[in-house]
Amino acid sequence: MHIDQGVEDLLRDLAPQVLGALVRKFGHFDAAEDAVQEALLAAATQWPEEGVPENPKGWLIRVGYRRMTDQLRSEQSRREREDALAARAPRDAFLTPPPDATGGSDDTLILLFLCCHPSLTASSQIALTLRAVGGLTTEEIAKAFLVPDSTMGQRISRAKQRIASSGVPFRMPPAEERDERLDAVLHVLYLIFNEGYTATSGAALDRVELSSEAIRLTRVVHQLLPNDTEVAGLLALMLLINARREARTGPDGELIPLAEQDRGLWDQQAIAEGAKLVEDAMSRGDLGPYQLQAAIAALHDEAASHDETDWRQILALYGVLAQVSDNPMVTLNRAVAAAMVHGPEAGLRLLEQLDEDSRVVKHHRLAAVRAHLYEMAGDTEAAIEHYRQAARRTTSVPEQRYLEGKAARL
Amino acid sequence: MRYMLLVKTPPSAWEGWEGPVDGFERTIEFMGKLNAELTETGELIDAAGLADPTVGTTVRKRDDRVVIIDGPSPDGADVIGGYWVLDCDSFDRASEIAARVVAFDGVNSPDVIEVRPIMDANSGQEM
Repeated sequence: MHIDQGVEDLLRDLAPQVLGALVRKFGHFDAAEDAVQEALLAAATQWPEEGVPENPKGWLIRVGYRRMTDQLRSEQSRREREDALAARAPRDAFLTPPPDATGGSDDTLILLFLCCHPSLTASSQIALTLRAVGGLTTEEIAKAFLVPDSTMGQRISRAKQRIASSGVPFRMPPAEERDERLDAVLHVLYLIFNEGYTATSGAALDRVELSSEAIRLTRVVHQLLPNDTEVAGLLALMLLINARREARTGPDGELIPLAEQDRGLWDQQAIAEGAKLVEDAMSRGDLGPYQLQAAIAALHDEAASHDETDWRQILALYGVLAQVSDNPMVTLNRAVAAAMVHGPEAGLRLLEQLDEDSRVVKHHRLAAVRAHLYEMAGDTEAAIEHYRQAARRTTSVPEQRYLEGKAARL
Repeated sequence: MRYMLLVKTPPSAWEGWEGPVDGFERTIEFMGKLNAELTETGELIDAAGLADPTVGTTVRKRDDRVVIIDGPSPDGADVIGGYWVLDCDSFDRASEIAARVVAFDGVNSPDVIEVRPIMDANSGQEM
């Protein structure tokens, strides 16, 4: 079925709001989702012919509401509890939501908080977010993560059951939990982005593009929380990284490192938007890791070449980042920046502290960065040894090819 | 990330196998429960036990010729008794599942499991 792009975008924006409204009303997450799917299907078949209704959200809620009451009523009658339903669900409540109702966008946010609930594993949070907020089908999500449909279906239905059984109410988390819960949401969006961005091949034709989806969802959160500087920072980071997308792989899916990318292929519009976002966010003074990473990405994106990059500034930003987040990957990147500013020995010295860090000591990226710095220092033998070690340790075929190629060319 | 859990057994473990013995149903029950749980968590992609190695063949190259011999490799190396393919959040999680299987003390239940990440052909981070 061909649906007008405008209608499709509209439906995807409205879907989580409609779902939110139904969950808020009835509680039953699972049944509400089915009802939303049916409402969306009805819209997708009727709107292109009959035109988009004046209040599309109200239309969808109405259809979903009807579907839901039908379903619940048949269940209830089975349990002979019709009275309870009638008392709980006053019929007019959702029949004519005012067009200027403000609840809708908050519902999207509440739904996100729910999907990224701490009682779920990361993979469940991701799957449920894409399903319930992103409106992707189970098949699309399964394909994007290269797992069988049945596996993904199980993951999603279990996540829904967990939420149902945990009895989390459908409302904003209390103020004292908000920051932490928002962190979880941003982390899930970042993981979705990363999953899409690191894909090197992949039949873009039939695979949902996860990085674009993550950007779309983060944009929604940014619109809902325009004053949150970390949300802005994450959106900026995604835009600034994704801007390099066309340049990061070669024709056969081979990885091209930042230093060798054709900067003419970088998306200047995305860079401008990301840079402005992070600049505005940072000027408000509430620094966080996403803003810092975005600022670093902006410095890379705005440099005319690898050598002309403002490495001093990048090194300084990594220094700040190291203070706000205890992450060995930060040290790795910081070592590269230190090498560009003070020479490879300075970078190698920084890496020494990671030899005691169990999170990273056997990680291929530590060996890869070390190899790179030895190469810079002219110690070819050590460089080859570490490139080979990194190649053996990675679990990614494109990375392995790249690292073996580096070792072979030295 | 995907992991393969490989059940390793010495060839001697298969010798003298006379079909299910007392207590084996407890092992079957344990595996059934575990797999149901892994299905429910959305981690199980595939799992199976393999037939007796004497039913299979070993195909190998000898002096640039392909030769086929009945049964497992005659060098006495461990044979694979079964496997799981899992999609887990972390290596630790995959290892934890393997540890549960090995910890189970049942008739013909695995004593050695090798946990190996499955190479990802379609993604990678730029260096």
